[in-house]
This record gives sequence, C-alpha cells and structure tokens, in this order.
Amino acid sequence: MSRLNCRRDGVTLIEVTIGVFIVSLLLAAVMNLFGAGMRGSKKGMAHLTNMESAAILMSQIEYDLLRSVDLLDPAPGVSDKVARWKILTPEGEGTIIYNLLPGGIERKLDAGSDDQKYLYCKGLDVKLAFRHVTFDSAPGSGAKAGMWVELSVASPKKLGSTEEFKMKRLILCRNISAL
Amino acid sequence: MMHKSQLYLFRGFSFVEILFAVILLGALITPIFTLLNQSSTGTVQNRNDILAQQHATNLLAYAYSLPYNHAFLNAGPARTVKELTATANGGALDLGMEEDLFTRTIEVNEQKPSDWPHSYKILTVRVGWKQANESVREIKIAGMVSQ
Repeated sequence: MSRLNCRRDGVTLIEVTIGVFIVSLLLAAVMNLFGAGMRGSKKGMAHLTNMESAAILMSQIEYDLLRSVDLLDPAPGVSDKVARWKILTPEGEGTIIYNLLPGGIERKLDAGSDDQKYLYCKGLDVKLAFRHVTFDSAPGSGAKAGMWVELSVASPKKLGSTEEFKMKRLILCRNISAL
Repeated sequence: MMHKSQLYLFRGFSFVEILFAVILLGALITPIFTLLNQSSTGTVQNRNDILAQQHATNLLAYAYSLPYNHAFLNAGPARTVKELTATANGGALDLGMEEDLFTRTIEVNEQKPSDWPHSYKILTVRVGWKQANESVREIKIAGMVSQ
C-alpha cells in the first residue's frame, strides 16, 4: 500500500472538528427557529385559554343578566367586583351572585332548594368589575338599567411574561324597564 | 496504485449533493413551522371574532338603551360608528373600538305596517376586519326597537 493510501484511511481531527462545527451551526440555527416557533405556539395556546375562559364567563353573565328582574348590587352608578341580582326561576325567584375570588370567579345561584355554585376561570389571574348603569329614556317610560362588565383574564406569570385578554360589555337588562 | 472505484469512495460531497441535502432538510422542517404558524393564526382569528362580537353587541345594547325617537336611531343607510361614548348615571362609558383593525356600521330601517298600530325599527350592526391573509371578514347582528 502506498503512503498516499495510508493517509486516506481515516478522518483527521481537523476534519472532524470542522464537521462538528458546521453541524452545530446548522443545528443552532434550526433549534433557534424551532424554539421561537414553540414559544409563539405556547403564547398562542395561553391566549386561547384566556379567550375561551373570558368568552364562556361573559356568555354566562349575559345569560344571567338578560333574565334579571332586579339589580341588587352594586348600587346605580357604583362599580364593584361583587354583583347580585334577582332572576325568575321555574320555582319562583332566585338570586345570582358573582364574586371575584383569588382562584377565579364564583357564580352562585341561590334559589332555595336548587342552589348551584361554580368557579369560572380557575387558576387564572382574573380582574372583574360590574358597574350598575341606568339610562334616561323617553319621558314617562322610565329609565333603562344594565351592567357595564369589565373582565380581564391573564395566564399566571411565567418568566416575567403573561398573556392577557380583556373584554368590556354593556349588557342591558331588558326585563327591568322602570326603576 | 488504487483502482478507480476505490478512489470514488474517498472523494468529497459535490455542491449538488449538499444542495439536495439542504433542500430535503428544508422540506422536512417546513411543515413543522407551518403547523406552528397556523396555530397562532387560528388564535388571532378567534380573538378577532370575539372582539368583533363584543363591538357589535355593545353598539346594539347602546341602541336599545335610547328612546325610540333619539337622533342616533334615525332611519337611514349604514353609517360608521367607531368612537362612541354613552352617558349613564352622569358618567361616561367608552363604547369605542380601541383597535384600528375593525370597522363598525349601523343601519336603521323603520317599518310602519299599515295593519299594525305601532312602528318599529330594525337595527343592523356590521363589524368587519381584515385578516392576516388580507381576506375581509364580517359579522352581522340585527335587533329591533319598538315604540
């Protein structure tokens, strides 16, 4: 075997080093792109969770307010994180109570024998404010009442960043025609 | 002296081979990024749907709060309502749209049936926006106020 053939038998350390260096550069670029994509996807998922939770809660609040016959709390013109109103139920009357708790928002239906309790937006950072609003109407027809609901749902803080989704809704209580 | 076929084993990669490998790698990675991108596009679309619904229902609720003969409810073709402040209990409620992305219109159509003693108005609220792929999306909500 000639001397030239002996030199071609293996790969030199320099060749391996350059090969590893090039592969690591390519991998770093790909992983960087992939990491950015994954971070974006995770943020999107967190935002989606917040949006769904906010939309479900807002739909429930709207459904309850549309059935309301008397707004008890907060007083007209006042804003609060707790709200109470009366609704009609098949058995008679019931009271809906929304309360902002550290672990979510509690909805309670107090209707004698048929009490219900449910915690919305569990494990999320929630801010909620109900403002009892009244609108002047045409002379003789009384005022119209409603609730201005401000809701903010955020995912728990991780590494200093958080996703937040805000909703603001004016919900008119059409069963309450005069105050 | 080496045989010609043995020498072939020791030659390096050609430019075409490397190019082919890179294209293949790119083709394999692309679907993963497309998938990630699609999930965020879907999230944005959902977000816009929810916010558009909010802007439309807020305007409709405001319209319901007004007296039947209020100037805001004058019959006419669709008109843009971007900024809107309602007055309630002496305070202001901002019912405007914070994002420039959305456009919102209200159309009022008054009906006075001859065989019915009361007139009524049909309110049609439309909220439109442009999506990331430049296509235009719109939601429409209708309601009614009576005298």
